[in-house]
Amino acid sequence: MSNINSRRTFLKTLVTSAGVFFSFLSLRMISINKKLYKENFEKLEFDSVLSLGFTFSEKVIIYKTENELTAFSSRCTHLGCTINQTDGVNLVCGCHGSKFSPKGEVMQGPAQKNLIALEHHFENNKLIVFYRNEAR
Amino acid sequence: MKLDRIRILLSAAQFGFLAYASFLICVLSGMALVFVYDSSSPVDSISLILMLNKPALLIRSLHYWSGQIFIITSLFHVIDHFIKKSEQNQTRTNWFYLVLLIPILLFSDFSGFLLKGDYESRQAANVLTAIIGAVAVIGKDVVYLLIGGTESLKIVEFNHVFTATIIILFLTIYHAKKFLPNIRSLILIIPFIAVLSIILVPPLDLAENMVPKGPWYFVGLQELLHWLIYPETIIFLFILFLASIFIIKILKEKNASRMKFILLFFMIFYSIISLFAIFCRREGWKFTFEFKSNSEYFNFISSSNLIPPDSIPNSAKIPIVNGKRESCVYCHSSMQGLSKSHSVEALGCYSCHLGNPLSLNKDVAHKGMSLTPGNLDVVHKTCGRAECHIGITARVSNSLMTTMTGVVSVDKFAFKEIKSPEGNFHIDKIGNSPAENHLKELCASCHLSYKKQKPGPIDELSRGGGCSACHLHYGQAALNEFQNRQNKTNLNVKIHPEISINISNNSCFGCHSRSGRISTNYEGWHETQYSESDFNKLNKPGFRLMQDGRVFEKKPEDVHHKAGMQCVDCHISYEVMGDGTPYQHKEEAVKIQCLDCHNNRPRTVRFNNLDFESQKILTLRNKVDTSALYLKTEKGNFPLINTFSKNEQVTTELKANSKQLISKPPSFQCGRDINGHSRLDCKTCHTAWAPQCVGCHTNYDEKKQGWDYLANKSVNGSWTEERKHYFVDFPSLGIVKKDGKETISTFIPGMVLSIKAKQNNYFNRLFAPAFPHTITKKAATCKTCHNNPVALGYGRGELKYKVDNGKGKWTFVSNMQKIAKDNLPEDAWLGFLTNSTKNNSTRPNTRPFTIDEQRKILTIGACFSCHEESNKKVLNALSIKNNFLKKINKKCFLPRW
Repeated sequence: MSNINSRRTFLKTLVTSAGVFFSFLSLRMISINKKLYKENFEKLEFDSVLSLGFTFSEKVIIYKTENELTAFSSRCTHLGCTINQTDGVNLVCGCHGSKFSPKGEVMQGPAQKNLIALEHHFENNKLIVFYRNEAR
Repeated sequence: MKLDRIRILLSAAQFGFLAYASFLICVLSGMALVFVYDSSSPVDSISLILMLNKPALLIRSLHYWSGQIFIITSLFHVIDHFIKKSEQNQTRTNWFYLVLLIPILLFSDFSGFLLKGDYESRQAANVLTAIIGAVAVIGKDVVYLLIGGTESLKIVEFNHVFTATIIILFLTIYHAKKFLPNIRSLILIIPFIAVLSIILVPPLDLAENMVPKGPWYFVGLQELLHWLIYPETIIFLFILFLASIFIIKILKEKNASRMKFILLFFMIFYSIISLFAIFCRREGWKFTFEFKSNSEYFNFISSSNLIPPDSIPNSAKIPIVNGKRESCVYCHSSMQGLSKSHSVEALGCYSCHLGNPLSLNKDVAHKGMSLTPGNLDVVHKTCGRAECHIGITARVSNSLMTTMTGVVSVDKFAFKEIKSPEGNFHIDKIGNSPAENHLKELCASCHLSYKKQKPGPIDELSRGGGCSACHLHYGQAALNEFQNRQNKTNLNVKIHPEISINISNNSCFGCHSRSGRISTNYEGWHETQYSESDFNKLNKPGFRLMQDGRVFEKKPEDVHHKAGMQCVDCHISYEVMGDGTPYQHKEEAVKIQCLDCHNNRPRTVRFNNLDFESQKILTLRNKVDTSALYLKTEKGNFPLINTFSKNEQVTTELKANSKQLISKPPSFQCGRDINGHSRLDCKTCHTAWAPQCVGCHTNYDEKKQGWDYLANKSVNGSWTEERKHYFVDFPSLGIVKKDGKETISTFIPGMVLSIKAKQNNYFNRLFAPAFPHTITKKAATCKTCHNNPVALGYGRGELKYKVDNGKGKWTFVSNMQKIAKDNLPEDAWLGFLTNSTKNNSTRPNTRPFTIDEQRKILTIGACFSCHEESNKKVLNALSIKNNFLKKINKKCFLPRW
């Protein structure tokens, strides 16, 4: 009897240990995950007084008219090249020739989607743009 | 005693409990994964798990394997109970619920497969949507209830995590009458699943798989779908299958046993077609019976992927390339040197170099990498991917530069293996005939599908390399870094050679400095018989030592080379990369002709009517001019986008440096207007010289070791070549007939040689049509052809015109050795004033001059034997349109034949 009891205890301990190890693994997984997504977006600052037309930066393109201001991700929606050229009116990607209107609408391929619009607001005399680094 | 214990252990841990234990592990691990999986960006969250969160990767692996073991043990559980005839102890209601468990179980696993969200999963979702959606009236709604639409995985996630799980849990407890499995089953199954999870880690399919296949229990269905005309039949068959299981409960024992056998037979059949689908179905679901490496069938990633990276950067630092995470770029972020179109930002590293883009561990990431991705054997996964240059790689595989079909057919013709130098051959597919062995040892490295063995710049010894043969360009910085790595002074990998359409003559030089020597002719170099040691002793200018030890002597260069033109300024992509048509010889593939540019009324095309490739290149080069009249070739109407017509002038803009050159039309003095010259080609008068190789002997020695360039290995038997003379002279002339039209063109000794093969000896006297690429502004003079025995095809020697007693007679005495086989001099194409033999050229549509033509040429030559070429009276007499011979001076003596 005691043999069976001790065997049962041993087996239960084994399974419980497996459960404890699994819990530890899960906790570790969650803490790594928290760290991974911590800085998945950035707040980019610009001077609130911007010239009319396009302003190019490393990650963002700002288009200003008299009435409105729009901000897009400067990543071309074809393969992700940084757009920093215009043909006078529209944005042109120098990698494979995609064209976008000043409102970010795709006008000529190979890109198929519009540029990603970014949220922005004015704060303390600065223009804050929220840039998210995410796979679509 | 021990055996008993094992028996008890196994019997208690019945399949049912094992299945339940697996299911519980699946549920627990699934609950943990909810914290790290994001159904709104599934591929991204799983990519990050693969790269950075190794505990999550292990739990994901546990989740996957416990799910699969759950299905397998459930299957054995069913079989076990069928054998035991357990259905007799169940009520019909219970039996009904058990039958219901089957599709729910399968759906649970299948929905898990869909949650990956990669290409395979999306394809599987499409297939299921199509099958169930095809059911009348309710189909589409049922599909939406099960897996939702294509825009989001939320419904799949909900059904997988909650609906299916709760139903399975409930029905399992209901029919097992237990809340938990027994401990023995846990003890058995936990280590088994743990070991599997560690050894075989389920990957993520990033490259759009050439053959998307569903999970292992689904591929049989895919195979069946391939055969059924109406896919809705599958639903009917599935319901029939479930009904057959249910009916076992209702039927009498004998019939129930029969039904079980039918189901067993169906199971075996389904297993066979599943195996068939896994191993024998490839791209396009085509049947291929060819053993491939394991990774093609089972693409699990190894346990080394579970090793945590040295540091864990936050996810924002892992760049997204082409919509997907790529760890390669995290490590190689500072890579420079690539052109904009191929920048690291746009393409990353994986889309060309393959490997594993979801690992920060160097060895794991580099496994399966290609350092020479331009090679044609991998190009369908690299340059020729569906989203990149697929059309171009298809053209290249048909191009002469890849197949070498002309080289193969002429060689086989010389070896008397085929009757005419024609046929569609491919150098990679040749066999072992004497000609084919000859090719393998002496010619077979010069084609695009020859593999570039190691990364590095293109030099004179480079051969093949697929796309890289032309499009790989090492600038100075890349070259320096490469050389530092070679001599180990600095192992940095920061500068990538350029992949662009900036193609220098270096790319062409390696192969084209052989055979007809076009590259060397063009630059004004002629091959000598000097060796490398002779070169060192020569000590005078005007000689060049090549990397392979050959010594060349300076001769006049082609005028186009002098003007700065490169090969690619004339030879457009539709020639070099092919236009898709499998041509037999190079002159058929070449589009460009002199008169395309040298024309005061060229053929033109506007930007809007150009093909897509031409428009794209002009756009990227910022050279779009919608008002411009770009030139196009007469042959095939192919655009020459670096050439345009403006103000009645043709301008060529060099691709290398945008320098502009004016292409003048033919002079009004063009020789073709002269009597008898109408068949002349531009190059026939404007060629300065051609290299002519005379006195060839090719020998096969079966005792020596040779090198097979196709297999890249040493073989028994060696082919060697010897030659006596390398002459540099005006070429021979002959006739090319095409589309009924004859042209007088340039020829050089092609294969005037004796071949001593194993059993047979062959002799050939074949001249080859050639475009020597030594164009000169100053054209040939009258005597260059009319008084030149080499031009006429007789070879070198004394060609004299003598007048004796009012009778003119031509004589020719060769100063070369005669070949006994046909009693002609070793450098001759045909005998003096004779007709040539039947097989005289390397093309079926070319020939030397007939006796009649030779006589006509020599008749004019007779004039210039006495008179100066500039003599106006003679030139006037020759310009008279009809029957000029009647107007000659009575003191002139024309030849008598």
